[in-house]
Amino acid sequence: MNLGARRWWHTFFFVTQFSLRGVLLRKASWFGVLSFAACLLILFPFAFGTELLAQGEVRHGAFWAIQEFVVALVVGRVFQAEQENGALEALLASRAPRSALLFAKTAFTAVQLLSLQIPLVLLWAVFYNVPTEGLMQNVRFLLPVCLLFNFGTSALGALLSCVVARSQAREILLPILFFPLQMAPLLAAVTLMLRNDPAYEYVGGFADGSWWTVLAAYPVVFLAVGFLLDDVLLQE
Amino acid sequence: MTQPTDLSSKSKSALPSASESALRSTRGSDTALLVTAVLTLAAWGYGLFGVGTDRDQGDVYRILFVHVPVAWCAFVWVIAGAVFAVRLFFSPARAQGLDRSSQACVELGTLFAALALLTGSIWGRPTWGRWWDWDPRLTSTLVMFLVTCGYHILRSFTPDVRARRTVAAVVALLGALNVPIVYFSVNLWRSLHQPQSIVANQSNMSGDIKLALWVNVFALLALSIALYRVRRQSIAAKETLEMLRAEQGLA
Amino acid sequence: MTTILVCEAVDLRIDHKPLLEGIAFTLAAGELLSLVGPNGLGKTTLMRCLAGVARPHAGRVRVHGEEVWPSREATFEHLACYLASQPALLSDHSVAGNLEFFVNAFGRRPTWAALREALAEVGLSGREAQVARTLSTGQKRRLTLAGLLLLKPRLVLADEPTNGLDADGVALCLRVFAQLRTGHQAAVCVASHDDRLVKSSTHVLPLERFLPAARVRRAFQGDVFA
Repeated sequence: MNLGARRWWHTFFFVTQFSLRGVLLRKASWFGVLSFAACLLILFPFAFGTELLAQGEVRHGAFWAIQEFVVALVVGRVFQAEQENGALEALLASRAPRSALLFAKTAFTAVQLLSLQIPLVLLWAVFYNVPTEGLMQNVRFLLPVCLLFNFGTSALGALLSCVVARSQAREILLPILFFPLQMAPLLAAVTLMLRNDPAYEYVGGFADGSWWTVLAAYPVVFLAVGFLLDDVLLQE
Repeated sequence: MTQPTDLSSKSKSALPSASESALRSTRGSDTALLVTAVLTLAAWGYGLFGVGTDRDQGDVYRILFVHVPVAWCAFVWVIAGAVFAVRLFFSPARAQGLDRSSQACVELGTLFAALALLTGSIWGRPTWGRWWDWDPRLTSTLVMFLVTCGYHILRSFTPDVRARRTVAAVVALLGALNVPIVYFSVNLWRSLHQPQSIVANQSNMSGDIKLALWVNVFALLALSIALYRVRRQSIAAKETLEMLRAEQGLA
Repeated sequence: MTTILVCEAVDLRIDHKPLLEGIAFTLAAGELLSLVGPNGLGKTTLMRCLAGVARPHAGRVRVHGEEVWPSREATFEHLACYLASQPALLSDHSVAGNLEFFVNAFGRRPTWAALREALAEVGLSGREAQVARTLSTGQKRRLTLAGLLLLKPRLVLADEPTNGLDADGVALCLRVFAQLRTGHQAAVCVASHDDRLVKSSTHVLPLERFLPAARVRRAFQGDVFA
């Protein structure tokens, strides 16, 4: 492996490692996001009415809508630890490969999202009366959907975090830019879950393959954009 | 763009020709705008009075002559904005001019997207019985509109000039990339919109309606190009003034 | 002597406003250059450009013969360290963790023994597990100096490195710079108001000489609408 590739992988692993370490050191932020999501999980039935929870679209739709809120919170803090005290600038000044930094943050954010989705699925199964006969099949199917959703979302989120990093009102800007660009994977995730829920009879004309294409396209497209534009994105 | 130079080092005759060419340029743009506006009004008139009534939709269908050209212009200008954005990444030396072009394109894209949503809604009400339906084309237009709004908000919240050019270009590119993905997704999800009016070598519209539609498309495209020129000049003048003020602030 | 840093005709701007123009200097191995000037002149902006973090409006910067600007070919394999005016830290990580981060950023992996030795040299021994957030400003600055001792870079770019340091801390900073210059043939470029640091420099460059020559009225010659 040549020097450049070795440096790239070194940067990728060490940034991922330090990001994970940071979450472990500051567990309150992880619990905070989980609590926020749990509150939303409980609030939604008050807004819809509990009878509607019997419908598959409402159950799955609410789960993924809550995922979007979780994603917005997590993605808004992709570079927060490094930006707080200038560590990001030190990282950029060290000439660490910027694409490795971006990829590492994407991978870490995807894993962080998965760590939040696991307890959320349990809470969702309980509060939303998910039928037990299809639950294990649901959960087995949920894993690949979540992984692709997380990677696509994280790639987009990391990209947009770089875009808004030098702007004022970042907290407003990120959701404004993020949510419209997030619609496709959200649609794909909800539809795939509905189609594979044995308790729900899905009427729709299109095969799963198309939806998997949409879910898979996101990490590919946005990681590619991040790779090509890394110098521009993380540059003043 | 020529840098400011010391007065004493240039002959006075250089000054008037620079001003004259700038004035000629703006007068030309104004004339083009007027001509294309008249053309567009004439095209609308043709659509309103020159073509017969539709058998199924009655006279309601005539909004097609506004909605379809406006929707196409929206996509054309957003894609043009993305093209200028991509060129900006490859030609950083010309970033200033390319950013101005990209900004003007996205502004037009935003305007036409808003009009497309409005006219689509107006057409949908008598056709579908409701103001909005989550059909693929309107929904992807809505998403594109939201992204272009985000583009403008990002520009206004990014004070540093060079950072603004870069991040705006990235968002312009992402917005354009997202259009086919959202369209494809929503199309999979549902479709209540009528089949595409213009399909290569196939048509379910009569010849005179198709002709009126193409006339309106070209007229509105010409108007939008004239609008682009005017807006591009306005952006350039504003930025040049800001730059000169910043430099002259030292004098 | 080996030339480490070359700055050629660098122009700095904030938005459209010219800050400094035509900055030019070279720095050889073993030299300590102080960039001096009043507040708001552009010292920090220049340091960030030299570090490759910010892009200059015009001009060329080369480190170890590799271009940092405009073409960004420099990989800093010879190691060029930038110390910002605010010590760069991960607040939630420990002192040792931060040092590890700093060194890993340059593609190196420090040993635990080396970490402890560096911390001891800067007066932070016994604080390996202390959370960085709880350090004082001076201690944070000492931590960044420990990073320099571990990395032993060929070029140090330091923006106000003595900010927050007491007399012992300033002496430590000067000692670390001297150690790197004499022991490792490093070049050090600092932006500082500190008299002690400026007096110990081999060269002093007042940046006021690069203020834009804009006292002459100018006429715009181009196309306003281009």
